[in-house]
Amino acid sequence: MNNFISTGKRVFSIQMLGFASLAGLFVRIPFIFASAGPGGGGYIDPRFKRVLWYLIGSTKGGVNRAKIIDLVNSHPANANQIASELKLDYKTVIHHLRVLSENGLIVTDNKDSYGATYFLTPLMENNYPSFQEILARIGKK
Amino acid sequence: MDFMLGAAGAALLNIGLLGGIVATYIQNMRLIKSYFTAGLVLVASLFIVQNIVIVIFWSNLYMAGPAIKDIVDAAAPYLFAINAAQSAGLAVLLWITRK
Repeated sequence: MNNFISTGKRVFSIQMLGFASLAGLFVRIPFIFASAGPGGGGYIDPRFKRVLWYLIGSTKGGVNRAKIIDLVNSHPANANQIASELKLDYKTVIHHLRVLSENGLIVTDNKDSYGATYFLTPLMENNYPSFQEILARIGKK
Repeated sequence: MDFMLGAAGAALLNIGLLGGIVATYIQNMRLIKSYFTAGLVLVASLFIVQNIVIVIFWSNLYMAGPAIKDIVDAAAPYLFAINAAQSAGLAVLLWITRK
């Protein structure tokens, strides 16, 4: 009986360590966004790079998000223009724009307006080489 | 005994959640070829293996009969807690992945 219980405790303590690491990440997130502001210069924040990889590489529709960032970088655009240029559904574009805004990659001058124009945030602009690295790996398929 | 069935049920739920996560990760890996996307598929797949082994382990204990019943009953709440915590974590991960 003791063997089973001690095994269970050991496994549980390993999982607790995993959760502690995850909790540490959430605590660090505000600092991630605070440390790479407009004055960040050419420094690419490796923590931002990980967030970007996760947002594009591990979520459904991540590739479309990358295409939207690429388009917004080339010229600021509204949801309708993005939908027609990328041949995506308007509602899909709205959803991606909301996720990208919530994660601090793009920003708009007036999000309540129908034709609101979206731009890259200074954080995204400063770390743009990280994004280009991901973009280069996206296939044509 | 109830905890034991709960633990096995949570492990089966984890396999289902991981199936949804892996499906998205594979779709992304086919479009973005990198160590990151391949690593995600590998990690999630290993978690599926882990949960399959847990289900087999517990079904073997269940079949073992009354000889080790006390041991199984003593260990069951711990494994249930571990599996249930994993289910909650995977549900959040699936939600983020599909968002």
